[in-house]
Amino acid sequence: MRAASAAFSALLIALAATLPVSGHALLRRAQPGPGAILQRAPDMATLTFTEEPEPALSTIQVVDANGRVVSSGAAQPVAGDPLALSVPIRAAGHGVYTVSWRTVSRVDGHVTGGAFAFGVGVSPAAAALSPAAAAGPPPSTASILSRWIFYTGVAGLTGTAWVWTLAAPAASAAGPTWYVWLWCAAAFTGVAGIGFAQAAAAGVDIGRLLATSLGVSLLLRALPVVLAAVVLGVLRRRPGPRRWGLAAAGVCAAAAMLAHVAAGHAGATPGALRPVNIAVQWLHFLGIGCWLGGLAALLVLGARLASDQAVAAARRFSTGAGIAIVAVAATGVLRAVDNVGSWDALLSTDYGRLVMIKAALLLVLAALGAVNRYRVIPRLPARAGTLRRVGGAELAAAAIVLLLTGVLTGLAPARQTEEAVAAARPVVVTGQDFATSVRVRLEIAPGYPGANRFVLRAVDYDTGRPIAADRVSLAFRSNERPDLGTSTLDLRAAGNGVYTADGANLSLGGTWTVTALVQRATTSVDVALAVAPKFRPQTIRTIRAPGQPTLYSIDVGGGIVLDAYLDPDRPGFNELHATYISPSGQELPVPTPITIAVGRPGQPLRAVPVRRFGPGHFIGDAQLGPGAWRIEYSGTARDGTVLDARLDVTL
Amino acid sequence: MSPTVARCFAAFVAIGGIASFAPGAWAHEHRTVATVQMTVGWGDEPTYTGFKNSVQLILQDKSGKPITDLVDTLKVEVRFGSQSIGPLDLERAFAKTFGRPGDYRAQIVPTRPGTYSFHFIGTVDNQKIDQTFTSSSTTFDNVQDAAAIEFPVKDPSTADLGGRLDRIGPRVDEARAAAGRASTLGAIGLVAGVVGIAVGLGAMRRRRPG
Repeated sequence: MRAASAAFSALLIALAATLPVSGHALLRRAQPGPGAILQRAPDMATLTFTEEPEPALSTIQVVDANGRVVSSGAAQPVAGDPLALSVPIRAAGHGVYTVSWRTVSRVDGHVTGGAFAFGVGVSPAAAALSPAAAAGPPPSTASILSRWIFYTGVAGLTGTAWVWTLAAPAASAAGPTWYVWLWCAAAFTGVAGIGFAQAAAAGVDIGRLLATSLGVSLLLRALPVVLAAVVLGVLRRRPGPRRWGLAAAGVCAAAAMLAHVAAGHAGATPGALRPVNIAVQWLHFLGIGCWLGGLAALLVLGARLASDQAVAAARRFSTGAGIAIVAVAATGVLRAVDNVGSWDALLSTDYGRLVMIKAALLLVLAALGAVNRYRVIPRLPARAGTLRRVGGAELAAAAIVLLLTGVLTGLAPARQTEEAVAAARPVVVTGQDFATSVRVRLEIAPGYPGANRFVLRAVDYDTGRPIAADRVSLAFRSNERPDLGTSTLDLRAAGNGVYTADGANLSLGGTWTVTALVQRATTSVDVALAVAPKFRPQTIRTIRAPGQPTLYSIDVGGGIVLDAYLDPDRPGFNELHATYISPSGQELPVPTPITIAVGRPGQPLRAVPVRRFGPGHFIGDAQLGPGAWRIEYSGTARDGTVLDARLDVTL
Repeated sequence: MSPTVARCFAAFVAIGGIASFAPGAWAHEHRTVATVQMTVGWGDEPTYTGFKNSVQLILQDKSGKPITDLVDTLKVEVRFGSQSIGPLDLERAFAKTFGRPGDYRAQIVPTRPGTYSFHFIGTVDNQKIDQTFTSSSTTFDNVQDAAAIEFPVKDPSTADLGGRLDRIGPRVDEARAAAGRASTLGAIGLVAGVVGIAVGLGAMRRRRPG
């Protein structure tokens, strides 16, 4: 009994950390974007997230440089885009504006928030959204504990139901009643805790939360648990086999798991993969319930059954647990692939690294299970004590594994984090002077065309010691548009060889030569750096018609669309047509000819000759062979708005 | 010479004269000191490293009339970082038949890109002058690396090559020292190996019966 109690305690800890998949409504893109410089104040701020936000619990606020709120009303959903929220902005003049947002994910109730700046007629300073902010805040302890308790309850109920009804039918009479009620109470407490944690995170009372989609999701999880308790209570007062009540409670627990999964990230998968992901995640839950919940139920039963019954139960459990472990491993891999997304994310994100550690510990757990299955159980009942010890160790190891999983629960999946952090990640370039005396590292945040913060670190080439310079400046020259001339930005010393400044010198997309001048008391050096600003995330609508070239409608921001097509859209000579359309649907006049650059993806692009065909219509001439091509369009509207777009086509 | 031809010739000379005083890219700083107007910049702009250039000072009086009688009462010191050269003499860059009256130059070859300061000290028309002019994006040009306009091949400057050679010397010394340390360790290892083999062979012989 002592071993069983220890195992039970371990299971409590273990199951509390159960089950992966968590995430946040992280900022995917914004209009106006971080660091954008507009010539006219926008009438709306629209933020698009990686997950569906709950509008009733989310806020977006825009304030001017004096702290005066210029946004009006609450955040509203955007028609046709469930991932976006917008807020109207009252007419405002030139200046720097700060957009701050706080969203509650409709998927799991996680709260995220952040802020960025944009400028109207001026360059916003410190426009960058830090990658840490982009990844979202960590979840609260209350949230983690509540999920832990919920998972413990439903997994315990599921495992008890299968072991006490199928693996050891005799246990349906011998098993302690308090044990089943405990799991029911845990599951219900967990649901309630999740609700209160979500309400606290969102800053609302539980009543308001229950009136939202998150409340409905909570009720769908709580109802099966309540139903399980009712069934157990009713059948307990009636004569007849107790196993039917246990089976019904197990089914209810599985239903609660399904409701939880459907309201989680697997359920948020877009498209036809949604039911597949839900099924995979549900099987993962069920597998863990049958394996770990079942093991705890078996150990609790051990002392209450006759020897032959206990041996038979252990053998049947072992077979079932083997199947469950395979199911947990297979579904875990599938869900990890879906949540992590890439080898790079597996290695470079906290989420990915925790997944790897968890996988390594799972191997230890599987080894302990193999010891039980192939060495201990065949020698029962003589090795009953060994079974309890190895089983306890198995639950203890599972506790560590599932605690790690609990941490994973609080982190945004790597795929989402990567997407949001990549958008906020600065552009970094390094180089040295010809004499190899100075090494510089230039960080450009956010790294899009427009206003940026430039942080340069200069160190001695050989020793790596910071360089104390009298003056550090950057000279910018567009490779595709040399007619723009050279602009210079002086950097301020921030100590320890670091020099910073804010500027909008990277005014266009394409490639730039940025020359860092590091001037010291007796000498100075130039370091030429090749810089390619990032492209803002863009939406492309493709329109295909028989016999016509494919038309690509590219959203370049501010309601402006670039309509682009290739004529004849076949390998060989092509005219690359580009027409800018204003928000009112008219051709947008572009005073200076745009730049069109083409190249194979991943290789340097070359500018092609461009002709003007209309006020906002340009044609580039290019010889394009078969295969994939990348086309970049760079231009500037009359009001200074950057009109950059990128198109990938295959001929 | 007919009057028409004479007028055309006069117009041609006037236009040519104006054109000769209009530099291509002329970024100079203008300052009035008491009764003296000083216009300061590089003699040849944009200014690139490694090419002969000059400090240009155009002197005018308050009414805008060129000051052409400056003797050696005004000098210029050129500063870069903590270094300086001078005081340098300012020489006339004009005569009766050429140049712009009031244009004085001090020849210099800037060898490093960056910010330069010109410190003028002395007297002009009995006016005491102590003025410093510093290059910047709003005054006159900073000096740029000549590689920016080199074509078709960007050759390193003498200063760059010198800097690289300066760096290579200590690196070669360090590499030699490392090679020496490695040789010593290798020799120690070799000796240890030979001793080990000898000890092993001796041990085997002792174990062999008889």
